[in-house]
Amino acid sequence: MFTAENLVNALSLGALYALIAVGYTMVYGIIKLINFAHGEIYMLGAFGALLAVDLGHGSANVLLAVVPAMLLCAAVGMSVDWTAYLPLRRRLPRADALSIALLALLGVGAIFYKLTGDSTHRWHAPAAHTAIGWSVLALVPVVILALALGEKAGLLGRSLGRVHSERLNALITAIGMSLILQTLAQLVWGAEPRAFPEAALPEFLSAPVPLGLPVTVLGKELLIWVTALAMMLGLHLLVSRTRMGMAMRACAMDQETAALMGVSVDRVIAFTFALGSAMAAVAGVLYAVKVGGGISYRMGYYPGLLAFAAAVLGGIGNIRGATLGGVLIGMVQGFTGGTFSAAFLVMILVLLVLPRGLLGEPQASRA
Amino acid sequence: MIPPRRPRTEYASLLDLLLGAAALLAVVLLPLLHGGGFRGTLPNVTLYVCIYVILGLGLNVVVGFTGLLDLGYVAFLATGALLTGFLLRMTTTPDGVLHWRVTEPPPADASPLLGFDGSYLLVLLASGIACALLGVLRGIPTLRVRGDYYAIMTLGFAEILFETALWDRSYPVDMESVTGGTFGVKLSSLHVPRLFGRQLFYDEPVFYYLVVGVVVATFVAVHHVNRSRFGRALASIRLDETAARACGVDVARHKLAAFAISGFVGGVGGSLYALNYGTVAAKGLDVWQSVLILCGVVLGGMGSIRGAAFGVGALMALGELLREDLGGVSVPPEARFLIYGLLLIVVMRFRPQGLLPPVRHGRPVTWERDALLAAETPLCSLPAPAEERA
Amino acid sequence: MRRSKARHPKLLVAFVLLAAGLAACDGKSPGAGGAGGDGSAEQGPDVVRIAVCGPMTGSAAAFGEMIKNAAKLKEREVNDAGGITVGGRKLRVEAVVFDDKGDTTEAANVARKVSSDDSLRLVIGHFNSTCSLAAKDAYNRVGIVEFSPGSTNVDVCRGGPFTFRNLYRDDFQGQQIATYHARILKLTRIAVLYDNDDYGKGLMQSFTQQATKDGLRIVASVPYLRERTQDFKPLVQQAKDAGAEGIFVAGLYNEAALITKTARNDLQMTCSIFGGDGVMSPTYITNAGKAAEGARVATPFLVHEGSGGPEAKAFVESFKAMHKKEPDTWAALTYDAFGMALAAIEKAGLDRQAIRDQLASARDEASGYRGVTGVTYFDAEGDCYSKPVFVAIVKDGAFVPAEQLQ
Repeated sequence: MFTAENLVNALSLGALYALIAVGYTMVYGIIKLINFAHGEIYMLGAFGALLAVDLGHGSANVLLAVVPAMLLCAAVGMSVDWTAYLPLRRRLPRADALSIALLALLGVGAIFYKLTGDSTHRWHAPAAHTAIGWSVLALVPVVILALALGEKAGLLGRSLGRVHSERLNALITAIGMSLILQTLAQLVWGAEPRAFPEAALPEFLSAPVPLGLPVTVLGKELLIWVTALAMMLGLHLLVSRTRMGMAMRACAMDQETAALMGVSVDRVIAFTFALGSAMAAVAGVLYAVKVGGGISYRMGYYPGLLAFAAAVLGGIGNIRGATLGGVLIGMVQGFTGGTFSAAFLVMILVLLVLPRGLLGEPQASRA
Repeated sequence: MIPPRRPRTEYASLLDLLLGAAALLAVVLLPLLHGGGFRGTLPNVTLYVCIYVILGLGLNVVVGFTGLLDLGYVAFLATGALLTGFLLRMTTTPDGVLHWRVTEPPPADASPLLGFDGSYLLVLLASGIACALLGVLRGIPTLRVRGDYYAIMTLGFAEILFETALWDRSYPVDMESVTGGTFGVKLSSLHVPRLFGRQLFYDEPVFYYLVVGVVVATFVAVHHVNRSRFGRALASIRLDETAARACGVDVARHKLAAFAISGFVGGVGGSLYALNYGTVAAKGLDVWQSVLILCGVVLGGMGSIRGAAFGVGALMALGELLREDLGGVSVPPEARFLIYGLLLIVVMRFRPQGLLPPVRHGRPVTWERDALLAAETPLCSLPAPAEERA
Repeated sequence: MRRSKARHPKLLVAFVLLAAGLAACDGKSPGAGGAGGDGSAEQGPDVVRIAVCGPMTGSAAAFGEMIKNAAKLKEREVNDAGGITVGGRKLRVEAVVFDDKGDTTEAANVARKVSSDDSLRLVIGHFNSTCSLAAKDAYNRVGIVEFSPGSTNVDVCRGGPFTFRNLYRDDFQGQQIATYHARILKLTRIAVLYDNDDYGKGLMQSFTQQATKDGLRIVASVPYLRERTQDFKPLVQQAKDAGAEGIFVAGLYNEAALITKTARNDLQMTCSIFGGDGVMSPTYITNAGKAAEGARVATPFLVHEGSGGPEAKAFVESFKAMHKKEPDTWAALTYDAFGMALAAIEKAGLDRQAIRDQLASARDEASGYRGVTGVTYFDAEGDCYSKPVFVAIVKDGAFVPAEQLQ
């Protein structure tokens, strides 16, 4: 169905997928990890903006709420790295302690919210059961702490220092992180999809823009295109013109050499996570604005998968590839009436011909 | 070639054997000791856990033995289940007309095509074979890619299959009349097959022991696969594909064979899954099911058969028991997944080889040490790692 | 190495102990239940337990909450009045809530569990048609009544002696909605957007059938998948391109809200929007906001000042007092289903088969149950034909009665 309306929709989807896909691709470029939790970061972006709007008692503008959402997601992105992936890369007591502290914070935060939050989006159960259930849950960080202490005492026989951890292990950790973030979002915000209140949405978003085209372009669609374009441009400048960008490129090429040259690798990785997450947050808010709601704990799953497919399609590790892949996947989905299978089919077909994606550089077969 | 000497594969210690026998005995005797017989929460949960253990054992062939992360294993579960539903739903009228569309109710005078006693064993076999074929077909395009790419491709296949199963008449192929679309296939008592004169319902002893039998058979079969020359070839692919190729292992053929075995077991598990629930719809079988089974395998120890069985079994049982009120304690239902996620992270961090990792010469084998131990071939032998000598 | 060798059996032993512990825990609970039953074997239990199954969490949780709250209200009212009288003894009533998440597998699991628990007398639920259908076999096999206050799919009661419901079927609903479009709204070009599950598809089919008879043209028939489809713009765009004068949504409230917003705000469509009874939830209005104004919804009953007798008013008052929330249609239907079930138990005793026979004997207005939503009685299948399709319209952020058929 190649209509002009579908083209407008496909472009918007493509722009959003590209915003998410760069997050996948940057992280993969540096630590060779599919950050499965990235889709959940995108979901938290939408929830973060919703939270900001709620805290502003409905008077806050969604477009302003993007800023706290980006900050929140950048923080969550870095925390995800520190809790889940850093301890796999390096076995340091410091990394473990940070990770455990963050996990405990997550748990305590969820419990605190549960006990003090509003009563509309709650798990329905007798209060006593809830309390006991939650205390069982609160034991989890304690158990982890005990495990870590046990490890210090040599009980689990884990060696210290840098390790070449199995990539599969990291990927499974990422899946675990994704499960945790999704469940936490469900516990905090409930299972029902939500929408931004109408007062928070500026008028122009749903108004047609007079562009002189034969097809109606709404304000929010134009906003998506402009934002995505600006962010991609900004990202390009950051990676190619700044010191941090240079450090990122150095780490992507060879971490050990970069470290020898004085680059603080862990800091660069954390920054990469923060950057990708902030972009995903923008995508999350814009998507929720575009579809008119649907902010739920599951919302990150399919866009995350599709954006990942986009990153792979473009050649994972390559920022321009991710952008191209995002637009392509958006097109495929937009023109096939929103099906997922067509997008995956295209991805598989491309991988059959080019196992490293469209713009992926050919490498030795040992990845 | 892989040296034909006695393989360094999994050996069962006496303790393992005893524990395994005890577990089997407990499962076999449970309905007899349980007050409600074959009906009740405990036998139901046991059935459910057993079916997932079968699936876990199948997934382990690809993930554990061959070292490829399969995120789309649910495709086999769904195919096996839907095919079983479709085959059992086929009816014939006395004048010999075959009615196979699951979307239409069968005519009043129709009788099931596969109504004879024991027909289910054929259906079970057919589900397995169909899924083995699917595994090979799905495997061919993935042969060129590795690691993470393989993972995302299998996931993509599962998604494609999921959407295709919902195709109705407006699409090129009318899949709905086979899979039932979103309605799924519902087996009424007319369609539930018989074995030894009893219908294979979830609360029948015949079904219970059939499932337990399949678990044991799968366990033994997978164990033999692992201990065979073929299994060692898979291990070599897992450790280093290029090196395996250099040693003369036909990587593509071995991978495809592993996919076929894994698919077969998945199809069998799916078939039993369909019969256990009596209703099966593609809608309930999404990628989360794959993730769940994978979690179990990882938890137990990838590559370890008893580990995979234990991990999946424990995870599923835990999930079901968390649903119960244990002495007035109930965990919020959503928190189940929180606990699964934490388990994955913690196990990966502190015990990446899993709770019951593969054992060689009575020693647990970690993936990190695997490469070093595997190097103990007659041609070159490395000194044991420092930690081992200590 | 010696250390790791020694560690290994220890781990195993730990697991065995853990497994044994779990087994002991689990072994205890049925035993404890059995002991409670045995202790008063001569007299029978002193509490009547009734399972209430519905989507307490998941994407239809707004329904689940209403169902649970209504059941709890009835439970409290009956117990405050001293319980129900069975065989000359006063028994307390307990509503035991089960969550099927609106998911078929989960519903099948719940059904197994409920039907094998001998202390449960009857099941109120499930809500989603998909779930009722998935659970039906287990209930009928064991022989416990499944009494749905919300499933409208045609097949829910067919062929199951133990399945009942106290509202209309989708064939009737679809028919009435189609006729409403033709006679009252006087439209000719209709686009149908349907949830691709048992409920949405069934409703779409019966609507389409009647619509063609009434001279309507279905210009677009677009499926979507609940919890999967998020961007409705391409789907609504199809309806717009086809020149639809009316959109009929056969699905649940969350998706209907997104469809309404997309049609009204983004595509500036002024056409009529009509929802099946799955849209009938206050959450629809909350989510769709101003866009919902003027949308019509079919429902078996409307909780509103203008409709229902004194029972309805009393119900609304006590519901609000207990839960600080307005009840909706599903709360009223659950309340009635619960009441009817208790009335049957009072007459028939605690035997599951006797309860079923008692319910099935309500075959006409005289033997039916008079509740908040009118009189409930069944045909031979357990279907209920005594409830009309009522049409509500959204006005100033609330459902009010619209013009009715007849």
